[in-house]
Amino acid sequence: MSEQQTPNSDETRPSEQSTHFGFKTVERTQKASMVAGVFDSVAAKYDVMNDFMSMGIHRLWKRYTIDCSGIKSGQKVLDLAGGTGDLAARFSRLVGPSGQVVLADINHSMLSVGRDKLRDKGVVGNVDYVQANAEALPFPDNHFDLVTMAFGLRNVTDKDKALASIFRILKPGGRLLVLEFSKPTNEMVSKTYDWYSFNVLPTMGQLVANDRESYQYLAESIRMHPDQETLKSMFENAGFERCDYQNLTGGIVALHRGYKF
Amino acid sequence: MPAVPLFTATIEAALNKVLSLDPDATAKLSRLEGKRLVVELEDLKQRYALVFSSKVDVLALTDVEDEVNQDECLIKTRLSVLPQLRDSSQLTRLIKSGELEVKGELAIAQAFSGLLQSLNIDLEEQLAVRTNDVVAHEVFSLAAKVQAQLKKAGLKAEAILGSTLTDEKQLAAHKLAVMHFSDQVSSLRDDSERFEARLERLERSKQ
Repeated sequence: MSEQQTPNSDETRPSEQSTHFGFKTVERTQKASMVAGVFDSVAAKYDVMNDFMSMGIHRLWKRYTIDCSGIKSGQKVLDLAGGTGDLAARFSRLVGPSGQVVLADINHSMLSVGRDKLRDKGVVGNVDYVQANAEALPFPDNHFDLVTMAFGLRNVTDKDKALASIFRILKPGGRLLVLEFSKPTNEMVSKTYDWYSFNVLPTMGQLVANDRESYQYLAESIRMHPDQETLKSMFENAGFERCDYQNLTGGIVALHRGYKF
Repeated sequence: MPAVPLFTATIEAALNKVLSLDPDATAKLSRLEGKRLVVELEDLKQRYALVFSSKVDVLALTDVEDEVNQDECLIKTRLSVLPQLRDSSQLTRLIKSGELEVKGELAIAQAFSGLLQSLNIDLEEQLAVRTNDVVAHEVFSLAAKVQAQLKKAGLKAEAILGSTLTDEKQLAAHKLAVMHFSDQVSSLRDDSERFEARLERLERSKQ
């Protein structure tokens, strides 16, 4: 990462009332609406851009997440920040008619795109759609067997509050899987990835989605997200047990797992 | 890491593609809906689950549980044994010999095996869907003609080679000569056996 790409000044350090929005420091109350603005802008092209930016590898990361879910027929799953429903569509088949999948997202545009996509694919019957803030989930205590959050946690203003909220709604024995961009473990990979993120991604965003700023935010928000060990300790602080993580594609992405007992 | 999901994604896509080519597969698959077949391959040290719904999802499981739920079948075996599972009459022998361990509802494995064996894919029809009836018919007629020609050419080449080896070059014996030789060998063997029997009788009479 070059110097101008690093938020290293005191001005960018968040206080109790402020937080990060990419490399910018903004009021906590503003972040949700700013993130909403980003996703309102990218919702229609979200799937195309994901395939384009990751060269399709995001599908394999999501498959691995499902492989680690241990989900069975009849269970209840919350796909939080579920976006366009990639995980929810598969979970719907895996839990069967006796199970339940809730696709939740704070962003109405993303939820609408996800709902239309799943209905067009014939994924109906056991999927519900809820517009919800991860920090204050509108579900009863001890309700879900599994909560997944793929590429959503870094956009949440108060991540500790979100983890506590997820912990509350998980059944004892239930598990949380967070798939999120992380810190590459190899120096070469890290440098290449930085160059790609800050040079190629915004240009792709401009060309494909006609939106450079949102993809600049994507690159910045990834750098501001806690690294593997920090996120693991955040899991533990929220009460999760047997926490671990698996680096994927050299740590570009990590899958964190924690259980509620 | 992406190697395993890539492998399962490939298997899943291929399996669902093959099933989609048989118009009756959906009805056959619906009998398995909600069921799960878990296969542990000891050579690969990996468990794969086939989850049946309107399609088949293939998972590479990371949790190792030996408990089997209702509507689940767990099979532990080796890669080399898999082809033998197609013949359901071999199951008892494989289980007794320890080459196959089954837990849960065996009928799920048998139904899935039956589903694969009963697939009826009309390739001409599939081509017609992507092109048109005339093109598909012409392509398959041409393929049938080519196949017949190749078969005919193969038989002709075989006859020419046989004739060359036996009649022209005389490197091999003619079929009739081989039969005659076999008959002579049989006759000689009979004569030898008779002679041996007579010899034994003479020896016994001397004693």
